[in-house]
Amino acid sequence: MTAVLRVEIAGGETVPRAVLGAQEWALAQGLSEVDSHRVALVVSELATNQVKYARGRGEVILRRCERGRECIEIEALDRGPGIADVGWALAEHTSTGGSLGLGLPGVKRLMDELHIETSPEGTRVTARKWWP
Amino acid sequence: MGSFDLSNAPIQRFAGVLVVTPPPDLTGDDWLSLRRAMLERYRSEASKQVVVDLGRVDLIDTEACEQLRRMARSVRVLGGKCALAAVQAAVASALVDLEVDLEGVEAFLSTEEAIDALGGRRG
Repeated sequence: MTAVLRVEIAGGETVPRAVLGAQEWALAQGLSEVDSHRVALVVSELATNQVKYARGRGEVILRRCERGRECIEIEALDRGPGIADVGWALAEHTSTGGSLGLGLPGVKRLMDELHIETSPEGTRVTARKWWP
Repeated sequence: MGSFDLSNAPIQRFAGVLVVTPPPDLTGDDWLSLRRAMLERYRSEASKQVVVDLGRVDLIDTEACEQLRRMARSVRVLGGKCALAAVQAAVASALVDLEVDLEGVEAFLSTEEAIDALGGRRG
Protein backbone atom coordinates (compact mmCIF):
# COMPACT_ATOMS: atom_id res chain seq x y z
CA MET A 1 0.00 0.00 0.00
CA THR A 2 1.18 3.52 -0.78
CA ALA A 3 3.03 5.50 1.89
CA VAL A 4 0.50 8.32 1.51
CA LEU A 5 -3.24 8.02 1.95
CA ARG A 6 -5.40 10.97 0.96
CA VAL A 7 -9.07 10.88 1.93
CA GLU A 8 -11.68 13.44 1.00
CA ILE A 9 -14.36 14.15 3.60
CA ALA A 10 -17.70 15.22 2.15
CA GLY A 11 -20.40 14.75 4.77
CA GLY A 12 -20.77 12.45 7.75
CA GLU A 13 -21.39 9.38 5.62
CA THR A 14 -17.81 9.57 4.30
CA VAL A 15 -16.26 9.41 7.78
CA PRO A 16 -16.61 5.63 8.38
CA ARG A 17 -14.91 4.91 5.05
CA ALA A 18 -12.08 7.30 5.93
CA VAL A 19 -11.69 5.63 9.33
CA LEU A 20 -11.60 2.14 7.85
CA GLY A 21 -9.15 3.28 5.16
CA ALA A 22 -6.89 4.81 7.82
CA GLN A 23 -6.93 1.62 9.86
CA GLU A 24 -6.04 -0.54 6.84
CA TRP A 25 -3.32 1.91 5.81
CA ALA A 26 -1.79 1.89 9.29
CA LEU A 27 -1.79 -1.91 9.40
CA ALA A 28 -0.17 -1.99 5.95
CA GLN A 29 2.58 0.33 7.23
CA GLY A 30 3.40 -2.24 9.88
CA LEU A 31 1.74 -0.64 12.90
CA SER A 32 0.30 -2.96 15.51
CA GLU A 33 -3.45 -3.49 15.70
CA VAL A 34 -3.65 -1.27 18.79
CA ASP A 35 -1.71 1.57 17.16
CA SER A 36 -3.72 1.17 13.94
CA HIS A 37 -6.91 1.59 15.95
CA ARG A 38 -5.42 4.73 17.47
CA VAL A 39 -4.61 6.14 14.03
CA ALA A 40 -8.17 5.35 12.93
CA LEU A 41 -9.53 7.03 16.06
CA VAL A 42 -7.54 10.21 15.36
CA VAL A 43 -8.84 10.27 11.79
CA SER A 44 -12.38 9.80 13.12
CA GLU A 45 -12.00 12.77 15.48
CA LEU A 46 -10.47 15.08 12.87
CA ALA A 47 -12.87 14.11 10.08
CA THR A 48 -15.87 14.48 12.40
CA ASN A 49 -14.71 17.98 13.27
CA GLN A 50 -14.61 18.83 9.57
CA VAL A 51 -18.16 17.55 9.16
CA LYS A 52 -19.45 19.45 12.19
CA TYR A 53 -17.50 22.67 12.01
CA ALA A 54 -16.04 23.08 8.50
CA ARG A 55 -19.17 23.00 6.39
CA GLY A 56 -19.00 19.23 6.14
CA ARG A 57 -15.94 19.11 3.95
CA GLY A 58 -12.22 18.63 4.22
CA GLU A 59 -9.32 16.37 3.52
CA VAL A 60 -7.30 14.02 5.68
CA ILE A 61 -3.84 12.92 4.61
CA LEU A 62 -1.82 10.16 6.24
CA ARG A 63 1.85 9.73 5.47
CA ARG A 64 5.07 8.31 6.76
CA CYS A 65 7.40 11.09 7.90
CA GLU A 66 10.96 11.70 9.06
CA ARG A 67 11.58 14.33 11.75
CA GLY A 68 14.89 13.19 13.14
CA ARG A 69 13.20 9.84 13.62
CA GLU A 70 10.50 7.94 11.78
CA CYS A 71 6.95 9.00 12.36
CA ILE A 72 3.37 8.81 11.13
CA GLU A 73 1.75 12.12 10.22
CA ILE A 74 -1.96 12.80 10.01
CA GLU A 75 -2.91 16.11 8.46
CA ALA A 76 -6.47 17.44 8.36
CA LEU A 77 -7.21 20.40 6.08
CA ASP A 78 -10.42 22.30 5.67
CA ARG A 79 -11.77 25.62 4.40
CA GLY A 80 -14.16 26.13 7.27
CA PRO A 81 -14.48 29.28 9.39
CA GLY A 82 -11.58 28.34 11.64
CA ILE A 83 -11.39 27.61 15.37
CA ALA A 84 -12.24 30.74 17.34
CA ASP A 85 -10.36 29.72 20.47
CA VAL A 86 -7.69 27.06 20.07
CA GLY A 87 -6.97 27.09 23.81
CA TRP A 88 -10.60 26.18 24.54
CA ALA A 89 -10.59 23.53 21.82
CA LEU A 90 -7.57 21.85 23.39
CA ALA A 91 -8.91 22.05 26.94
CA GLU A 92 -10.62 19.13 28.62
CA HIS A 93 -14.40 19.40 28.81
CA THR A 94 -15.23 15.96 30.07
CA SER A 95 -16.04 17.03 33.60
CA THR A 96 -18.39 19.91 32.87
CA GLY A 97 -21.38 17.71 32.13
CA GLY A 98 -21.74 19.35 28.76
CA SER A 99 -20.40 18.33 25.38
CA LEU A 100 -17.13 16.46 25.16
CA GLY A 101 -15.92 19.21 22.82
CA LEU A 102 -13.96 18.82 19.60
CA GLY A 103 -12.11 15.65 20.53
CA LEU A 104 -8.79 17.46 20.14
CA PRO A 105 -7.62 16.73 23.71
CA GLY A 106 -8.02 13.05 22.85
CA VAL A 107 -6.02 13.52 19.65
CA LYS A 108 -3.31 15.27 21.66
CA ARG A 109 -3.13 12.35 24.08
CA LEU A 110 -3.07 9.74 21.31
CA MET A 111 -0.31 11.43 19.32
CA ASP A 112 3.15 12.77 20.23
CA GLU A 113 2.84 16.14 18.49
CA LEU A 114 -0.14 18.29 17.60
CA HIS A 115 -0.04 21.55 15.66
CA ILE A 116 -3.02 23.68 14.76
CA GLU A 117 -2.98 26.52 12.24
CA THR A 118 -6.34 28.21 11.94
CA SER A 119 -7.80 31.35 10.37
CA PRO A 120 -11.20 32.43 9.00
CA GLU A 121 -10.11 30.81 5.73
CA GLY A 122 -9.59 27.36 7.15
CA THR A 123 -7.77 25.04 9.51
CA ARG A 124 -4.80 22.72 9.25
CA VAL A 125 -4.31 20.21 12.04
CA THR A 126 -1.09 18.21 11.94
CA ALA A 127 -0.62 15.32 14.34
CA ARG A 128 2.48 13.12 14.52
CA LYS A 129 3.22 9.85 16.23
CA TRP A 130 6.78 8.61 16.55
CA TRP A 131 7.30 5.20 15.09
CA PRO A 132 6.90 2.74 17.93
CA MET B 1 -27.52 12.82 7.88
CA GLY B 2 -25.89 9.43 8.12
CA SER B 3 -26.96 6.21 6.50
CA PHE B 4 -28.72 4.81 9.56
CA ASP B 5 -32.35 3.82 9.07
CA LEU B 6 -34.23 5.01 12.15
CA SER B 7 -37.32 2.94 11.29
CA ASN B 8 -35.22 -0.19 11.57
CA ALA B 9 -33.35 0.72 14.75
CA PRO B 10 -31.57 -2.28 16.30
CA ILE B 11 -33.50 -2.15 19.57
CA GLN B 12 -35.16 -5.23 21.00
CA ARG B 13 -36.71 -6.20 24.27
CA PHE B 14 -35.37 -9.21 26.16
CA ALA B 15 -36.56 -10.24 29.62
CA GLY B 16 -38.07 -6.82 30.18
CA VAL B 17 -34.82 -5.04 29.28
CA LEU B 18 -34.28 -2.91 26.17
CA VAL B 19 -31.20 -4.10 24.31
CA VAL B 20 -29.66 -1.64 21.89
CA THR B 21 -27.19 -3.16 19.42
CA PRO B 22 -25.39 -0.45 17.45
CA PRO B 23 -24.21 -1.69 14.06
CA PRO B 24 -20.60 -1.05 13.00
CA ASP B 25 -19.52 2.13 11.20
CA LEU B 26 -22.16 4.48 12.57
CA THR B 27 -21.66 8.18 11.87
CA GLY B 28 -22.10 10.84 14.54
CA ASP B 29 -25.60 11.56 13.20
CA ASP B 30 -26.39 7.85 13.31
CA TRP B 31 -25.46 7.69 17.01
CA LEU B 32 -27.72 10.66 17.64
CA SER B 33 -30.59 8.96 15.76
CA LEU B 34 -30.00 5.75 17.69
CA ARG B 35 -30.16 7.59 21.01
CA ARG B 36 -33.43 9.25 20.03
CA ALA B 37 -34.89 5.94 18.82
CA MET B 38 -33.89 4.29 22.09
CA LEU B 39 -35.58 7.04 24.10
CA GLU B 40 -38.78 6.69 22.08
CA ARG B 41 -38.87 2.95 22.69
CA TYR B 42 -37.99 3.49 26.34
CA ARG B 43 -40.94 5.83 26.81
CA SER B 44 -43.39 3.63 24.92
CA GLU B 45 -42.51 0.40 26.73
CA ALA B 46 -42.57 -0.64 30.33
CA SER B 47 -38.82 -1.30 30.33
CA LYS B 48 -36.81 0.55 32.92
CA GLN B 49 -33.39 -0.89 32.08
CA VAL B 50 -31.25 -0.57 28.96
CA VAL B 51 -28.27 -2.60 27.80
CA VAL B 52 -26.11 -1.24 24.99
CA ASP B 53 -24.42 -4.20 23.32
CA LEU B 54 -21.20 -2.89 21.76
CA GLY B 55 -20.14 -6.28 20.38
CA ARG B 56 -20.35 -5.10 16.76
CA VAL B 57 -18.64 -1.76 17.37
CA ASP B 58 -14.88 -1.86 16.89
CA LEU B 59 -14.14 1.86 17.10
CA ILE B 60 -15.71 4.61 19.14
CA ASP B 61 -14.84 8.30 19.00
CA THR B 62 -15.71 11.38 21.04
CA GLU B 63 -18.99 11.92 19.21
CA ALA B 64 -20.15 8.35 19.83
CA CYS B 65 -19.01 8.51 23.46
CA GLU B 66 -21.02 11.69 23.93
CA GLN B 67 -24.18 10.03 22.60
CA LEU B 68 -23.60 6.96 24.77
CA ARG B 69 -23.15 9.17 27.81
CA ARG B 70 -26.34 11.09 27.03
CA MET B 71 -28.20 7.84 26.47
CA ALA B 72 -27.16 6.58 29.91
CA ARG B 73 -27.95 9.90 31.55
CA SER B 74 -31.43 10.08 29.97
CA VAL B 75 -32.25 6.58 31.19
CA ARG B 76 -31.05 7.49 34.68
CA VAL B 77 -33.12 10.69 34.74
CA LEU B 78 -36.17 8.61 33.76
CA GLY B 79 -35.55 6.35 36.74
CA GLY B 80 -33.82 3.44 35.02
CA LYS B 81 -30.35 2.01 34.65
CA CYS B 82 -28.12 1.60 31.62
CA ALA B 83 -25.23 -0.84 31.18
CA LEU B 84 -22.74 -1.67 28.45
CA ALA B 85 -22.08 -5.18 27.23
CA ALA B 86 -19.52 -6.95 25.05
CA VAL B 87 -17.12 -4.02 24.90
CA GLN B 88 -14.31 -4.86 22.50
CA ALA B 89 -10.67 -4.27 23.39
CA ALA B 90 -10.25 -1.42 20.89
CA VAL B 91 -13.35 0.32 22.23
CA ALA B 92 -12.14 -0.05 25.81
CA SER B 93 -8.77 1.33 24.72
CA ALA B 94 -10.46 4.30 23.02
CA LEU B 95 -12.55 5.06 26.12
CA VAL B 96 -9.35 5.13 28.17
CA ASP B 97 -7.35 7.11 25.57
CA LEU B 98 -10.12 9.69 25.25
CA GLU B 99 -10.51 9.76 29.05
CA VAL B 100 -14.25 9.49 28.69
CA ASP B 101 -16.21 9.50 31.91
CA LEU B 102 -19.33 7.41 31.35
CA GLU B 103 -20.57 8.46 34.77
CA GLY B 104 -20.76 5.14 36.51
CA VAL B 105 -22.20 3.09 33.66
CA GLU B 106 -21.25 -0.52 34.36
CA ALA B 107 -19.83 -2.84 31.70
CA PHE B 108 -20.44 -6.59 31.41
CA LEU B 109 -18.86 -9.31 29.33
CA SER B 110 -22.09 -10.27 27.61
CA THR B 111 -25.63 -9.01 27.07
CA GLU B 112 -27.00 -11.93 29.10
CA GLU B 113 -24.78 -11.02 32.04
CA ALA B 114 -25.84 -7.38 31.80
CA ILE B 115 -29.55 -8.31 31.69
CA ASP B 116 -29.11 -10.49 34.78
CA ALA B 117 -27.26 -7.72 36.60
CA LEU B 118 -30.01 -5.22 35.79
CA GLY B 119 -32.60 -7.61 37.14
CA GLY B 120 -34.14 -8.70 33.86
CA ARG B 121 -36.82 -11.35 34.11
CA ARG B 122 -35.69 -14.39 32.14
CA GLY B 123 -37.45 -17.55 31.17
